[in-house]
Amino acid sequence: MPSDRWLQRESRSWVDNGIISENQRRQILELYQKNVKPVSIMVILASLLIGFGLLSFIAANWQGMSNGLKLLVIFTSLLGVYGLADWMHTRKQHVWGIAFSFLGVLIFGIGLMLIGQMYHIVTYNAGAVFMWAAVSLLMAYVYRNDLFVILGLILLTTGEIYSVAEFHSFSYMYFILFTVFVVPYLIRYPSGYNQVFSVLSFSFSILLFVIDQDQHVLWMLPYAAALLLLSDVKKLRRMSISSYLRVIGYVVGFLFLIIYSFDATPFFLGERDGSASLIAATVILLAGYGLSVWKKGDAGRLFDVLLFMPVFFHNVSHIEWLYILTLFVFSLYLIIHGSRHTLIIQVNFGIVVFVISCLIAYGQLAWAFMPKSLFFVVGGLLLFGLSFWMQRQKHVWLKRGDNQ
Amino acid sequence: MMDQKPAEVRPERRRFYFMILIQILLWGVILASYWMIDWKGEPVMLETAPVDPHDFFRGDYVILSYTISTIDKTLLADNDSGSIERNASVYVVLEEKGEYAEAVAAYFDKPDHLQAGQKIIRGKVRYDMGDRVLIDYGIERFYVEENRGRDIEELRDELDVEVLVTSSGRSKVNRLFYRGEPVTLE
Repeated sequence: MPSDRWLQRESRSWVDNGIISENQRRQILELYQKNVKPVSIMVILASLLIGFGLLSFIAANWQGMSNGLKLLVIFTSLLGVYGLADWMHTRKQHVWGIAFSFLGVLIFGIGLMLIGQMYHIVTYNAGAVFMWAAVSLLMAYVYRNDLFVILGLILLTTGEIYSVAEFHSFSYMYFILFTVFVVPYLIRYPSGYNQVFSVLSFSFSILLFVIDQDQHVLWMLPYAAALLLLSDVKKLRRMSISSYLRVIGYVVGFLFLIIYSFDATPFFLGERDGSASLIAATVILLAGYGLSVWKKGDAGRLFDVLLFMPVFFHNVSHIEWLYILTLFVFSLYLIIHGSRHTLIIQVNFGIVVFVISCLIAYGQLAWAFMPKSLFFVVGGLLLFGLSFWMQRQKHVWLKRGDNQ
Repeated sequence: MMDQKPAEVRPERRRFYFMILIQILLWGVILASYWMIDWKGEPVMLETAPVDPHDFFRGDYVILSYTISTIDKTLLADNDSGSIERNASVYVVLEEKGEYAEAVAAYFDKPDHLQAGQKIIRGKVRYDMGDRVLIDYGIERFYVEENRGRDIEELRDELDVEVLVTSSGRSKVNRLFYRGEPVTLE
């Protein structure tokens, strides 16, 4: 792989320049060696296309077949595809082996649906999709490959959406399968992909859960607080999942701040009841988080609490301005705290939030009295100027952070 | 702890074969449970009822609704609480009256004794409509050739459905009848 060669060459010069030792270079190379063989997307795509081609052929001729023949077709295609996978592994064509097994998992699920059709089965739950997800997740353990985890997570999420949309009931099967299959996998074989997909999928199912329970969407904020708290747990702190938990917690918080800074009572979020349990849950989780960052000696992180303002303040006139102000303060905190600890991603994130805050403030101020075309032109220029200035400023901040 | 991406190697063979076995078993269990109904079930003829107009019309299956899909609350012998929980299991006792089977009683727990000629079918409460209850039995669809669903749906008011039910109340659509003749889909 070219990137592999690049690292070999570059790391050689790092040793020569005395930046790292030869031993460290070897360690770095080892670290990346495991990473250099991603499953070729092309091969997976090829197997998908072949699979769908065969399936549409079967589907087109489906009605003419007797049930016995249909069963023969789906059983032989499952066994055939796994047989091919096995044969490919014997020939050391592992990428192809994985691709055929992936196709096998797809055929398993499609077979479930076809069997349902053959016997006119109507199920009033998403059990079949969850069964499919479970098989994909189990396959992930056999292969230790993220592809099957991601397929499993997509299926789990699909099952949950199906369950809520079609049958109006949240299925706890999601949480059971997530705990039994996904969590142990994340612990044993952590990778960026499976962590991001897991946190996203889980957060989405929490959102569905909140909606299904007829609770206000603001309950996503205590969930975001829980993510922040979790990201600060000692055991997770050094792992990359910690930063994904934090980022997704931030994103949830920001979405609310941004929405509420436009309009304190957006119609699509409904009237807030300011329920005591919502406030209590948020306070408890934030207190835990505050204690945790305080103990760690990172008191700057206490600013994170600002994100949760929408839980506490509402039904106050002109509250939007408080949220806009909060966005500004928060973005400055992200930039200052990030540059002090040389957290480049956090600084970039802070810059984005700062620019968004400026635009919202500008919008709130100028929309009412400016001609609309001028409004957009000035807005564009503002955005242009701001990002230019911020990008230049970033280097200054990060340098200052390094010196401290 | 560093993130690691496992290398692509052959999966352990025994695990791999075990996974294939699991998938075949899962299919097998589902198939067997329906073959069981074919084998043990007894036929009952059900009269169809007009379908809720809010249901989508689908091309590839016929939506079926039965006269037994809604039952009077008075039939529910052990209902004392008044309102009925969604998704609660219901056992409906069927008795042949003339051409069709009709619901004569319903229980939340499987009844121990049935009179001669009675059969039970298990369903789930979909909706409590006040004095009546809407029940799903899992026999509300009949898959047909793509785009044929609509044609058959137009005949629906004159369709009868032969359903197989087992002694435990499991059920499965067996055949459709149009004016007394079995519908062939060729």
